Formats: sequence, structure tokens, C-alpha cells
Amino acid sequence: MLNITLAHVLTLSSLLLSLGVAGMVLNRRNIIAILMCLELVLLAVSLNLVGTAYFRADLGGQIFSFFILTVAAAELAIGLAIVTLFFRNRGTIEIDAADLMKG
Amino acid sequence: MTTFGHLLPTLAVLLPLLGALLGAASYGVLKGQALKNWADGFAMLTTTGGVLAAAACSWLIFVGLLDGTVQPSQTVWLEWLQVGGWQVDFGVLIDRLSATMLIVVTTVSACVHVYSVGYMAEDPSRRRFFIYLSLFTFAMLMLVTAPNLLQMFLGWEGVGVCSYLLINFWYHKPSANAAAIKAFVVNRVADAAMLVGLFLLLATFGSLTYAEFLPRVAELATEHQLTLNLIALLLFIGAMGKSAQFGLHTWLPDAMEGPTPVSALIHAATMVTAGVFLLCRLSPLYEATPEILHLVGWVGALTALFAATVGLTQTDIKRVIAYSTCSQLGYMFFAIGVSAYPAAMFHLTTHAFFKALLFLGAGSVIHAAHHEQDIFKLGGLRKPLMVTYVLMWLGSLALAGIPPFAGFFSKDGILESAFMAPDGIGWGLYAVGTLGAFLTAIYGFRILFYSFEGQPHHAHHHDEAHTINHQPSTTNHSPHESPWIMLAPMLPLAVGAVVSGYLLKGMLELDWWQGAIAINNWTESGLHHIHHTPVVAKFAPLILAILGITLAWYLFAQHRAVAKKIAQEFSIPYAISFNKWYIDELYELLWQRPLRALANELYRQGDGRLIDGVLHRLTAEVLSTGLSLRQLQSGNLYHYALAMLLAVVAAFAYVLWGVN
Repeated sequence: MLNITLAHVLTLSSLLLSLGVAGMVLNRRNIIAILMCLELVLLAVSLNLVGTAYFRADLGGQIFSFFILTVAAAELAIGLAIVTLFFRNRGTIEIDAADLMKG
Repeated sequence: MTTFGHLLPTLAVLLPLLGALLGAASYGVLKGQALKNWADGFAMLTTTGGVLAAAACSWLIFVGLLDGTVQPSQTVWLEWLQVGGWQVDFGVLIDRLSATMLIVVTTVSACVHVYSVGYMAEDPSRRRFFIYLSLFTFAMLMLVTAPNLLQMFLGWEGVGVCSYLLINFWYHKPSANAAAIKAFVVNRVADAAMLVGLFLLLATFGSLTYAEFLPRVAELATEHQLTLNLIALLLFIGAMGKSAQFGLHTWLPDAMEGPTPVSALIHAATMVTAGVFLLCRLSPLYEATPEILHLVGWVGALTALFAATVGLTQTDIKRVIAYSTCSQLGYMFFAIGVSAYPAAMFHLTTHAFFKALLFLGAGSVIHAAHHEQDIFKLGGLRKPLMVTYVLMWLGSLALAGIPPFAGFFSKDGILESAFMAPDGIGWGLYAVGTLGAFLTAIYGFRILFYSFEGQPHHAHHHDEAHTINHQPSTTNHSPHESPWIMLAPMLPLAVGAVVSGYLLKGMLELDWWQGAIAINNWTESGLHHIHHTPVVAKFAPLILAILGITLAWYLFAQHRAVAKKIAQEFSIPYAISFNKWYIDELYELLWQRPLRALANELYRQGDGRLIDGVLHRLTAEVLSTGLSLRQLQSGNLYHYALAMLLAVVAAFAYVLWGVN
């Protein structure tokens, strides 16, 4: 049986983070996908905290991950609400349509 | 009487101010349209009452000085400035010089106030008018009674401001605006010279108080002759501006834009004589600078002749009298030029009476003729305006110098003292002045005959008014005599114009002034010897004046066609006179155009190129920087996300490796 170490956990977490970031930056079409990538990033952080807490026998990290989950849920609720309104106004959820800030 | 007697000078100076302040207070207390008539009446009562009371005080002082119950005095109200060892007080100086000015100013002012009650009755802003008039009177009284030159200068500028406000009284008229600004600007030029003169005087003597520096003039005369000359010259330039002498006279005829009572008070009897008064007050200084005195004499003579020639052809009744004022002021300066200060002050006094009378008479004519001032459009007013006609005759006779009227004594005093001046230095002045007297008689009676004799023009004129304005035919438009409230105040002036010359001819003696005027070598001066004037020189001005009146009668009352023919025959002299020697045009060419060009150039180079240039460049730079920076804002969400990420990475990198 494979012996799982802290390094494994951190590597997985880094991979998840990178995946989330790459999805956010490279994705050019869908706002929902960005929100999902955002969740992925938060997940990576949570995994990081949980893993570290486990291996260091410190519950503080695990408790912190609950906060992150709560905040992520709230953030997603707001994010989806914004997306819904955006769709109502523009009839699309393409990211390129959200360019009012263009200088 | 003794305690009250000390208060008299203070009361005489401050009562007009009190009247003006009370009148002004009515703006705050009696507000509203409903109370306007009451407030106007209240202001007229306080201002007129204040000036009348001041006149009473002044006469008490003057008579008291004459019979010896009042002594010359100097009252200090309060200490104004103290800088180092130099102190300036506010106060009031009473001697025969200031007492003479006091009665002239307050008497004419009181008459003008009463007259204005009638003249300005229909003006909606009459309250403002009375407040200005009283304020002017106060400033003028401060000017003449100040014990030092600084307080005098305060009054000097005060009368200038009031003159500006009153010329511009009908501020909705562009011509009045222009005239007021012109008067102010010309006087600024003169006052700048005067101020420099005051600085120089202070630097030389360390004091501006008459009693302190005047006695020391003689001791400084040898050592600082050049400085004294410069001071005398600069102060004379100041006096030239205020007294409208040749070169700085251009504002006075234009100042006739103001209401006629203003012209009578300010631009005939009082303010314009301030320059003459100042030179008389400073007589010890001018006695020490004979070269400047010579210049004063010739400037005066030139003004007397110049203004008389211009007065011959002007058509506006008020402008003719204004040029006459200019000319008479010239006589006063030319008297000063031959050290005949007493004669100048004497002429100032008599002139104030008859010139104010002439102006008020002209105001009565203008009032009667429904604001027609062109003498060619007046005429035939003798019958309807009998009282005014007689009063104008008295004034004109006094102006022409016919005995026993006031002008005869004073003008002869001036001309004879010029003729008798030592070494014949005054003969040229005498010749010019005598010629001026001839011209004075002509223009003085020209306006009289044109206004009152001949065919009335008004019938036709008012028919037009009827058709244009559709006024009801019941309104009486024929010329009418002025109400008694306008005629009554002319009577004291008429009395003054008739008898003041005879009653006050003692003024021609130096002793009369009790030291207020100083003349070096009095026993050799021309004024001392006027009783020995040769008969020819004595009667030449009188004969010429009578000739002038006769000529005026022939040309302007009997054969006006001849007058027109002469004007056509001598078209060049006529044009020069009619266009006032082209002085305004010359100034336009000499000052206004170069200054305007300079201002335009400064505007273009300084404002346009320098200031606007810097600002425009600055804004253009900001704009282009902004334009290039805005390219960073792509509006694409993923760009922002990437930027955020990179920033976080950079921050972590800094924390991890950069800190140590």
C-alpha cells in the first residue's frame, strides 16, 4: 500500500490550484466555468490546510477549512446571482461580453 | 458760547457726515416700497439739515474770526498714526484760510441740497443722491480743515470718490459711466504725482503737519532747493488734476454727465477749487520755489485762454459753463503764479457764488425745457422763466467782471497784480488774462442769449413728443418756471454773486489772512501795488468785457445769421475750438492707442502664449498619458485575473526571498 505523505497532499493541492488558475485565465467563454475554477482554487487551499493539519496533528487547520467552505458557499451564491442578472441584462454569459471596463 | 465755540469747527465738519450716515441708515431701518417715500423724505431731511447746520456753524466761525470773538485754533480729535517719531493726528484747523473755504463749501452745498429737493423730486434714487452729496460735503470739509497733508489727502481722495459716484449717478447711461471713469483715471494720474510729492515732503521734513513743516521751508531752501522744486512741482501736478488745468482738464467737461446740482457743487464751486486752496495753504513752500511758481502762472494763463476759446463754440449749455469753470480756475492759478494768493482765494470765493448760481440757473433751464441742453434748441425762455433769467443775468455779469458784481473785484485784483508784478514778469500773463476776460464775456452771454432770447423752439419739439409718446393732451408741455424750492436757494447765491466782491474785498490785503498765507517781499509784490495800477491797465479788462457783452448781444441775440457766417468764414479756428483743440484726439493718439496696443500684445504674449501655453501643454500631456495608460484596461476578465495572480506570486516571492 502506497504510503501517503505530506508531499503527496501538497503536490495534489498545487496541481488543483494550478488547474483552477489556468482554467480562470485561459477560459474565454463561460463565466460559470470561471466560478467552478474559483471553487477549485478554494478547494486546493482547503486540501492544503486539512493535509497540513493532519500531518502536524494540529486541528486548527481543519477548523479553518470549514470557514473556507462557508465563505466559498456564500461567494458562489453571490457569484451565481450576479451571473443570473448579467444574463438577464445581456442575454449571454460569455466573458467577452463583460467588457464595460475596457479603456 | 465759550464751550460751544470750541465745538463749532468739529460740528461744521462732522454734521454733514452725520446726515449722510443717518440717511444711509434709512436703507436698513425703513425698508420696503410702502415706506420708500418716508425714507426718502427722512434722508433728505437729515442730509439737508446736517449741511444747513454745518453752514450755520461755518458762518459763526467766519464772522467770529472777523470780529475777533473766535481765535484761529487747531483741535485734535484723535491720534491717527504713530510711527517712530512721526505722528499724524485727526483734527480740524481753523484759520482765515480754512474758514473762507468752510463758508464757501457749506453755503454752496446747503443751497445745492435745498435746490436738489426740487430738481431731483421725480428721481427714484434721490435718497442715494442726497447721501452722496452730504458725504462729498464732509470729505470736502475735511480737505479744507485738515491740519496735516495726510488727512487732507484723505479728504482729497474722498471728494474724488464722491465725484465719481455722482458723475455716474445715472449709471444706466453708458456716457455717464465713461465720463465717471475718465474723471477717475485722469485724477489718478495727478494723484500719483501728488502722492510721490507727499512722500518726498515727508522724507525731507519728517512731518506732514502744516504747522511743523511750513515754518522750516525757508531754512531748507538754500540747501535742498532741487528737492523743494520737485515737491512743489509734484504737488502742483496733483492740484492740476483736481482743478482741471490744461493737460489734465479733459475730465471736467465730460463730468457734466452728472445731475446739474452736482455740477454746481462739485465741478464748479468746491472740489475743483481744492487745488487752488492747496497751493494757497502751501504758500510758504511755493514762495521758496519761484521757478515752479512761474510755471503755475503760465499753466493757469494757458488754461484760462484755452478754455475760454473752447467755450465760445460749444453747444451744450452745461459744457460751456464747465469750460468757463476751467478758465476761471486758470485765473486763480495764474494769480498764484504772481504770488497773489489772496487774489486767488478771493476769486475762488466770488467764483463759487456766481458759478454755482449759473449752474443752478442752467439746471432750472434744463428742468424747464424738459432736459434739453443744446443751446441751439433752446430759446425764447425769457418770458416763461423770468426769475431764472434775471438770476442768470446776475451770474453772467459777475462772471464777465462788470462792476459792482463780485467777479469784477476779484478778477481785476488778479489781472492788476499780474500787471504790477515786479520787473514786469506778469505782463504776458496780464495780456493773456485780459484777452480771456474778453472771451469770457462773449461765451458767458452767448449761452444766456441763445437760451432766453429768440424764437421758442419748444412748441414744435413738444408736438413731436406728443405724437411719439401718445401723451394725453391735457398735460402742459410749455416751459414752466421752476418751483420755489429750486428758485429760493438761488437767491443767497445771487446775493453772493452781487455783493460778495464788495464786502470781501479786504481779502486782497495780506494782513486780512492773519498769517494763513505767506508772501515773501509783500511790499514789492504786485498785489500790494494794485492801487497804483495805470488807468489803462485798470480799465482795459472792463472795457473789453463790455465790448464782449455788446458783441454777444449783436451776434447771438440780434443777428444770429452773422454768427453763423463768421463760423463758416473762419472754419479752421472754429473747428479747433469746437473740437476742444483736439486734446482728446491727441491723448487718444498719444496714450490710449499705444496703451491699448501694449495691452493687446501683453494679452496675446503673456496671457495667450505664456499662461495659456503652459496650461494647454500640461493638460495635453496628462491627456496623452491617460490615453496610453487606458490601453492597460482591456476589459477582459481573464487579464485581470492573470494580473492578480502574477501580483500574488510576486508578493510571495518578495516575502520568501526578498526580505532578507
